[in-house]
Amino acid sequence: MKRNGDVALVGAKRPEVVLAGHSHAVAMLDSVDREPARRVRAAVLVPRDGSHEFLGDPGYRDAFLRVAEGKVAGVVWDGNQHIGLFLVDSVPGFQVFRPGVVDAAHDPGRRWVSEEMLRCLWRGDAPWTTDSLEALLRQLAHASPRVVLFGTPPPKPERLVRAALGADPFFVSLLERESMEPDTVPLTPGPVMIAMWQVIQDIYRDAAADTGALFVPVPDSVMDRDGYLLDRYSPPGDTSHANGDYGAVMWAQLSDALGSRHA
Amino acid sequence: MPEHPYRSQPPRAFWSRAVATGFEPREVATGTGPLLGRSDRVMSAGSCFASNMIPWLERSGIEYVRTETPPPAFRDLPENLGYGNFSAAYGNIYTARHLRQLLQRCLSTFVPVEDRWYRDVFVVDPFRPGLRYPARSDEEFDLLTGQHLAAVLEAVRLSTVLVFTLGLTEGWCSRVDGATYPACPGTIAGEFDPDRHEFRNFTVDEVTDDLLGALDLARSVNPSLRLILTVSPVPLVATATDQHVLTATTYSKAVLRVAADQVTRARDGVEYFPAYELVTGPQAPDAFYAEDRRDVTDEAVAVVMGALFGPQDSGTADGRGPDDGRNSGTGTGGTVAHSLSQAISEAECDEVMMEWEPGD
Repeated sequence: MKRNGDVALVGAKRPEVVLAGHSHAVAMLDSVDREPARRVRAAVLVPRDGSHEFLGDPGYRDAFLRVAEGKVAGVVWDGNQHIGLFLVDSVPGFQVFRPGVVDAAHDPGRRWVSEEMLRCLWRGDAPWTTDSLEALLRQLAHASPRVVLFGTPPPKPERLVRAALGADPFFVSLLERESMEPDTVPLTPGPVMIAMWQVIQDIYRDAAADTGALFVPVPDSVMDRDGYLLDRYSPPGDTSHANGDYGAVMWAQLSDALGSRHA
Repeated sequence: MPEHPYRSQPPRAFWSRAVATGFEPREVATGTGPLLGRSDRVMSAGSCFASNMIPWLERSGIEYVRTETPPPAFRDLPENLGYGNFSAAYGNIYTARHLRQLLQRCLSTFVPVEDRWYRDVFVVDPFRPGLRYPARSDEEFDLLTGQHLAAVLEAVRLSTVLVFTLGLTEGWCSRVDGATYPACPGTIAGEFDPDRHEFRNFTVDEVTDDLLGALDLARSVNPSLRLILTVSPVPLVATATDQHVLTATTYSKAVLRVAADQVTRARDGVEYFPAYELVTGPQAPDAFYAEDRRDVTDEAVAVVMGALFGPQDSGTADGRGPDDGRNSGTGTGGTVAHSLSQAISEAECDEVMMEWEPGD
């Protein structure tokens, strides 16, 4: 472990890739000692000052800009926009059109919301918005020879989400206050969550293209045929985050992307 | 003193007693009684002036029908050109032809040939060219447009009254099938092509026919629907004729006023509300128009709406109308869903990040 002020780098001793992010970066942290991460000499930046906000913390962000100098800078940005606003379904419900998303076009009771409206909802200058992501990528481009933006984990099937809600006393009590239970709380249907996740990935792809960064997408191999995260990549008791096995897949994706780019 | 028909006329029939002195806007507006009652459900459409009535209407305790409000989480997003102002998101409908064709499209009796324009990654609706959040694919465009047309029809079904404010006689149409656009192609969106697009200045007969056609279509889904017609007092921003914009405005408003009158005579359940006269008549003060002599001031709107709805207790101090209530539909369901989703997501993210501690 290498200390650097109020942050530390976990992983390769002399890293060529330095990764920072919001909470989904922890899956990459959990797999930073595995072979795919070692292959690219990766390290993950973590806070040492008791702050648990990662990229939500300006000090962590500044430190990232410092340590990324001269190295490949990897970013795992948010990824929970759809969860944080829409995990619990609203009335009236809505849906977003994405080609090929199963069943999304077959619910006449839900209103169509244009993808552009959804994108606008996630723009703005708050710390977690798309505009802030683009600002970070542009700053990194001054310090780093290569900036990489990672895709974020796809939604989990409803049964895993409900199990996660039921396994956590905090969530159970939160729902109880609204006279709801984990088994019956209305959740935004999976196809709508997948559609929104796809929009988020497109936003990231566009942000990378606009700033000269490399976008590393989530591979189909971690999803079932409907687009949900496979069970083996899902830690128990969590509605959205993926585990170290998923992180290892993403490190391998990075390795392949850097390799093909070198070629 | 000899008897003649004027002897039996009420004071409101005489300029000296009804305008020169003792002018009372409500007397101009209602001959026999209020146009709207508490049990009415009102849909409105027309030029930009038409949206002024909505907050006043809701303050009066009359239901304004809305069938195309965004889901709760999206209601604070800004919109362009007043698409969020009306019962459904049709935006300004300046001509009677546009209203008629909108209803025809709802009923699938008219399918415009030029029904979409492409701009960058977007697919633009020629009949709603200023929409802030356009579709990104043909499939999405079809879904959003189909949903919009269904919402328009639903508003017609749910309403007891349609208030339509006639705005213009000048319009731009397709040479192919006569589709009438709310704005000249190439201004807000699209590209003007003289081989495909033409200017029209509708006549009294055309406007009358379009209004009757629109009313008949609306009543085919809601036979008891009443119609209140008004003419916008806002002058043309520009004319495409060879006339001065002032004479073009006078022609336009005169045609619309006559057509409105003809429709009230031709069908039961149609009434005219004289917003135009209240704002533009010689009795109107200078202050009813802003410095550009085109924009109607809040003071004028207050007088017009006072005539339509009667005095209201708590208008704001600056003379503006009450809040428009567009956010009042944000249901508890949406707020609870949002706060729960946010709480769950934040708690999990914190937990995941706290799992790593210094020294691990």
